[in-house]
Amino acid sequence: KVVDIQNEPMIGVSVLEKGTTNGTITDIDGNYQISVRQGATLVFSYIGYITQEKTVSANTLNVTMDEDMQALDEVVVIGYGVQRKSSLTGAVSSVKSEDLEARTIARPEMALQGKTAGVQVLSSTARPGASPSVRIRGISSNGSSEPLYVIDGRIASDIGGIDPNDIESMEVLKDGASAAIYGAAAGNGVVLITTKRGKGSGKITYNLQHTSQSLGRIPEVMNSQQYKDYFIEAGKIAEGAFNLNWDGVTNTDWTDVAFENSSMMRHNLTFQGGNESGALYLSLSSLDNDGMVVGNSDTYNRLTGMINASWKIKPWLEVVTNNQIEHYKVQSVAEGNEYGSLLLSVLQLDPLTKPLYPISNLPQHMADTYAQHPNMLGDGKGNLYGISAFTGNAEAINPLAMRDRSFTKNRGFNINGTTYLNFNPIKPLTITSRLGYRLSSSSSYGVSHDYYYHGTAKQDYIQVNASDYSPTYWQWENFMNYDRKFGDHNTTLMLGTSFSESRSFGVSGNKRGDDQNIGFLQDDPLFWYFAYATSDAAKDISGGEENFSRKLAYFGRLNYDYKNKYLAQFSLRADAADLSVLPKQKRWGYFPAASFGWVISEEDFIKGSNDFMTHLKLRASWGQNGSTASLGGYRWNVSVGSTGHIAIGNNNDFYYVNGYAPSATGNEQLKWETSEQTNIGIDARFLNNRLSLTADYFNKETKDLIVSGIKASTVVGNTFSPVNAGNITNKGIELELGWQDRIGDFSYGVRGNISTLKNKVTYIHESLAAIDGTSLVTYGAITRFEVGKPAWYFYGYEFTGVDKETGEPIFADQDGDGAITDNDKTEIGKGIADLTYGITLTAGWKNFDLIVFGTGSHGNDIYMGLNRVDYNLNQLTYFTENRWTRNNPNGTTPRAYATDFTKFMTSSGSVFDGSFFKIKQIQLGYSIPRNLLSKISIDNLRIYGSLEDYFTFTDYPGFDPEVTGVGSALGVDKGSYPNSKKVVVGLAVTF
Amino acid sequence: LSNTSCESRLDIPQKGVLDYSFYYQTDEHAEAASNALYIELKGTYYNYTMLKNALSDDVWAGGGGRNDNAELEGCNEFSFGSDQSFIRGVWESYYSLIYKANVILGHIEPDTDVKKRAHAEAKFFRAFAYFDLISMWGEVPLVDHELTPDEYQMPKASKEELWALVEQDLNDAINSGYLAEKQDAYDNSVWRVTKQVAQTMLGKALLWQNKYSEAAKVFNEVRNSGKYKLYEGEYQNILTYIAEGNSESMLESNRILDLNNPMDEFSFYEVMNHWRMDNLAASSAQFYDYKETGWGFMVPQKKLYDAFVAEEGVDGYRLNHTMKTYEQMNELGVKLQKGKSIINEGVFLWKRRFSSSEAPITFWCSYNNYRWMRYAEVLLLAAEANFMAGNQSEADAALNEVRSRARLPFKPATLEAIKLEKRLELCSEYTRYQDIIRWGDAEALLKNQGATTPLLINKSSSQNEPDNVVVEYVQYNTDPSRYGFKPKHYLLPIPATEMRLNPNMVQNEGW
Repeated sequence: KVVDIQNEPMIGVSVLEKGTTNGTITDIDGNYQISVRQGATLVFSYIGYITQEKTVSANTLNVTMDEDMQALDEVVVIGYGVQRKSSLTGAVSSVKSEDLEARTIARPEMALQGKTAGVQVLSSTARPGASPSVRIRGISSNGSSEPLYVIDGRIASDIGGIDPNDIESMEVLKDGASAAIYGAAAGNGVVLITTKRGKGSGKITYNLQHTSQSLGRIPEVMNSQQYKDYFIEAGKIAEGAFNLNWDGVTNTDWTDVAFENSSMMRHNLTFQGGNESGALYLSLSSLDNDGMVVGNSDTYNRLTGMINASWKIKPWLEVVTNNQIEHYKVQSVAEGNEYGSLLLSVLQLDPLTKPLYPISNLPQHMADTYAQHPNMLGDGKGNLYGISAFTGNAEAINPLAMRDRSFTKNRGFNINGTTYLNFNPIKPLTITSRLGYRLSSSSSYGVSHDYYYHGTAKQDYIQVNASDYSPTYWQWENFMNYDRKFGDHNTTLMLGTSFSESRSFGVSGNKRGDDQNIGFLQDDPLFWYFAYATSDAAKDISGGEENFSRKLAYFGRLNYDYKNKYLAQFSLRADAADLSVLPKQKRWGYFPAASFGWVISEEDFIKGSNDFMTHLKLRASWGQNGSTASLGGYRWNVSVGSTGHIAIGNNNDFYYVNGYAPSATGNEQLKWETSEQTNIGIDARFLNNRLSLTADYFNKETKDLIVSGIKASTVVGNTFSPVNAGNITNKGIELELGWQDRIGDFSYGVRGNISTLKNKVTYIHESLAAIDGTSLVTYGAITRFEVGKPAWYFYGYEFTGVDKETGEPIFADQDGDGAITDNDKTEIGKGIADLTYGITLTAGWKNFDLIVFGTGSHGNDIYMGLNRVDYNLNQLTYFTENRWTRNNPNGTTPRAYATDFTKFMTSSGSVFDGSFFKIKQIQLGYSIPRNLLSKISIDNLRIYGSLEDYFTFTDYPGFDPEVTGVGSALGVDKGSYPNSKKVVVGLAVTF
Repeated sequence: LSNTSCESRLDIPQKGVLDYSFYYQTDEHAEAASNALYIELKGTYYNYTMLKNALSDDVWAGGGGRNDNAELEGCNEFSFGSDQSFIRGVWESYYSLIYKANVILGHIEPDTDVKKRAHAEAKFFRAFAYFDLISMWGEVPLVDHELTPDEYQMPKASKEELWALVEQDLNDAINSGYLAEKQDAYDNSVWRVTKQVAQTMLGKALLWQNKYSEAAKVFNEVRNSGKYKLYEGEYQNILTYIAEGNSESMLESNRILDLNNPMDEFSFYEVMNHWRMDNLAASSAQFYDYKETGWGFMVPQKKLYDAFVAEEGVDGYRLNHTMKTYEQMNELGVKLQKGKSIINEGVFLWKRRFSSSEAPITFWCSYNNYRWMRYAEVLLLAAEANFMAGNQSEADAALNEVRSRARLPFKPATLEAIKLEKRLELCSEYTRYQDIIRWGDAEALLKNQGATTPLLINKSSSQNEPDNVVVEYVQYNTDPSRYGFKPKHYLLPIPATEMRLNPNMVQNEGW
């Protein structure tokens, strides 16, 4: 019988007679039977436990397996190979399956948040099905800063099709040397994902999870009375207008109108088994998320399957295939921009208007409109959606009307995978030939139909949009790993090639009517398809063009160690891009790297104290990587292209002629962005591995950033092609600390990580004072990319207080010319956090387990774009409750509708500290005792309850400090869909 | 392990474009290259007209309220700096037009009729661009070929060199014999630049250099060609879609009612110039004849209205077809909503009204052609050149051709009479600014522009209270040094971007 340290029987432990193929595995009660000679040696092994060898001396041999606390010799995936963690010389962070299971995250990227130092997960929206952005060690480009994803060896642009439950581990290659083996694509870091492989004697697992979601934080806006007082005070609405258009009691809370409690349901079923010669892992998951917006207008449904299998056909040949299949459907609402975000509308609509009015009893202004426009939207039960009498043609309209005037449904499927052969012609040599592939299809169908809301929110016709895209990708990689020992010298050599091709093809089109012609045979959903458009409906078709992009690479890596004490690694990759990316003579890029390690704890002079310090290693690395994310589309080339057309003739009889002219000045010198990174780190384990520590310092410089929109001269008369003209640095320190211990039945662990980041633009092209980023309404750019500042820092006036006499905001006169002009705009904040951290506490006692996980950021700011001061829109009470008035001359925000309020909107007065700490998860689980379960053939049954994203600590008065803009809008909140707070119940059962 | 043969697979040809080094050979290429000039011209219209109108005393910047379009307000109040986006945008458009002309002149061998016409048109457009550059910026870099990177930092050329290029180009174009010509005044099929348009530009170039008799000669040739004639229909339609391609129109950029290509007709032009509709309401059903979206920029100044009244009386035919008072608008179905205000001085431009019937698909999409020049301008330029050259009878004839269409009595030509006639006839047609600069009148006319902003306000705020619409003047600018035309404004600033990049560039005085 085999038991674990808690005396629980262990199933699936491999028992092998040493030196033979004679073996078996333990059954559900931990029992095993094997026929061997007396005196033979049995080897007991199980993943995660220390392998034991016992000599057979009696008929019964009971073994207690010890957990392998020595996670040191855990194997880490490093790209075209694996390496023991103890001999790593680069900075690699890992997330294991336990951090991915039993969470509500729908996408694997989310698992990196708060679990790995130096990795930041940013979301511009948390709507169902949205994909987050991942930043490894800061922002390294003015273009894309997304890392490279590699799933079981396959390069992927999107990893949404994998259920987190099916992932064995995720490795983040953070330093330049580790990532350099991926060369031209790895400038923003690399995330390697390894999916699960079948294990054990045959196991069926079923997970069920139900989540109830609701709006976490609701920004406070003025109520009806406050609104009335404010706009009378502002002189924008006369008191008479309120007598005319407000019943005196209506006080609509628009967030209540637009949002509801909703649910998310997940199922996951897996079958797995494996032994020495092969393994099978089959999984099926479904996810149904109905978002928080009232009704079914924001939904995400996903069905994923995974088929992973391997078989050792011959002693010298193993075949492996890993495949993921995904089908999804998604529908969403407008968000994240100042013109028509549903999240903004609920804050900006006046509370004096009701969501619905019966047609029989409409207010005067709506009755007038209805007489002209019978196609006003309503609930179909005799009520029309309320239209404000106060806010004019504002983009913020009734969220119900916003939801119902149009919809777009997207769906698609992906088949992703890798299939490969491992040859072992001779013992130290493994040759791998690996094919990776992705077959995708995505289609969308959308309708916007005739409706009338007000002068600019209206449409007199039906428009149907549809598209279908089916991109494909394949890559073929061949590489060999050769291990050789020369005495105390160990070497591993890897050499390989890679070729990849992606093809895109699709069509999209629309048909629509016009003001005289509704465009479709009937104004009826059953006719809202291309086939039933009227013959004179207008149509647009685009696409139908196949585009290819291809890459070719050669790479090699040499690992060396002397007595596991002195470690070194060298690698070089040569990448070639196709013509759409770079001109032929600049096609090849070379990316070298070197790293070294010194395992101090292996030195004789220190070996004695191993009880205290189990392991200590110093590491240093240097490497170069590239990025071509900002290239493509033949941007270097000067060619003659169409400049558009003009019509010849009159409206009844015309034809078009086309113009041709050189497209741009061209830049045959264009090359990759190159990032160069130095990393110094230390790994240490103390007190018998109970305490672990990893610390890293990095300095990463990205050079030759690809900058578009330069003007080398204004008299040249043509567009300038992009040039390599920008540098940016990211520096920081990362610390990961862990402690785990057990006291009797009570086991516990703490893992924490913290990382600092200093980001600075060090150069951009002389012709650009700065690159403008995102803008707010018509007030110009509010973020900038400029030398000497952090990337996309916040740009605006520095608000210094309110004038006690006038209530006008006062701004710092930076240029000292006595007036506040554009020249006084300056740095007023940044979206990049100085410090990000995460902490995970785990505890187990008997059959109970507890996880508490929190993450936060510090030192980042949020530029709030939730307020508008035109169209008499409602405002956040933050801006109004302590405003300047005659009676409150010490008010901290400007008077109602101050003349310079628009400047205030783009000043530090609208910038908030975005620091937050969020408890992402508090999960309590209970495993039903096995002796109860064994009677019903259940191996394990765990039930749990969890609160997720439930507690947020922040000073930010908006929805969710965690969800703001990304890219050039980093930290800019224009009404993004927030993370919901979730109450989760789930169960996991294993047969 | 070898993928070497794969490298050739990286040579993926670019789709949808042609190879620069092998282009510009055939007639078809020459046609396409000159079409690009017309497309560029069309694309320039919005910035070109908005800037020139805003810089004049014809209009207020307008809009829904202060800061609705700070850029236009800056132009209108002369509070802009050298980094003004309209000024930079228009400057860059001219050099872009010059570039496309230089590509034709540098790459196409003029050995066929089509290629010769392409050359003639390229020279016209290059001169057209330089005329504005010289008249608005003074001395600017002379770019007469495609520049190589070592030539990017160009110094200014002298006015003499620049005018010489303009005159040479226009004379070459006119004398080539390859520019288009209309059959007669009513031929509306010609969309290309005609010989007469080129002659008019040449006349303008000469007039701007005070070469009066030469200018008079070339303007008179246009008058005597018989190819153009003042529009004989309702004057109020002259700029609307109803009168596209009329006998008076010298050059138009065509826009088409093609529901399959509405995006190609995209322009905010009509919506920007149309009345501020979200603050207006119907006083009769006629209201719905007008486009219901309009942003109310470029609203006429009251003193323009007053000048009309002084010349024509309040019932003047041309006045009533050009602009309407608020009271007249009321009768035509338009009133200001209670409690609302717009930037307006109580007069509305009528000749640019935007009808709901001309924008069938979205709120911004009109198919009304862009008008670049009309024959009335030629007549008034001719009147001025002839008068200054001493040809009184020719001057009288040209001036009174315009006056009689406006149903005004004969008046002998004087410089004052010509200036007034041009102000009224061509108001908001983007000729005024360059004229008052040339005449040296700008400082006197514009020195207080921007001191106050007129607001048209309906002070009534309840259903029972009757409308009470008044004009009030608000002072947004308090520092007189920061608004109004100053001597430095006789030249626009060289865009700051060029100053930053080009050590050989000298900024205009005072900027």
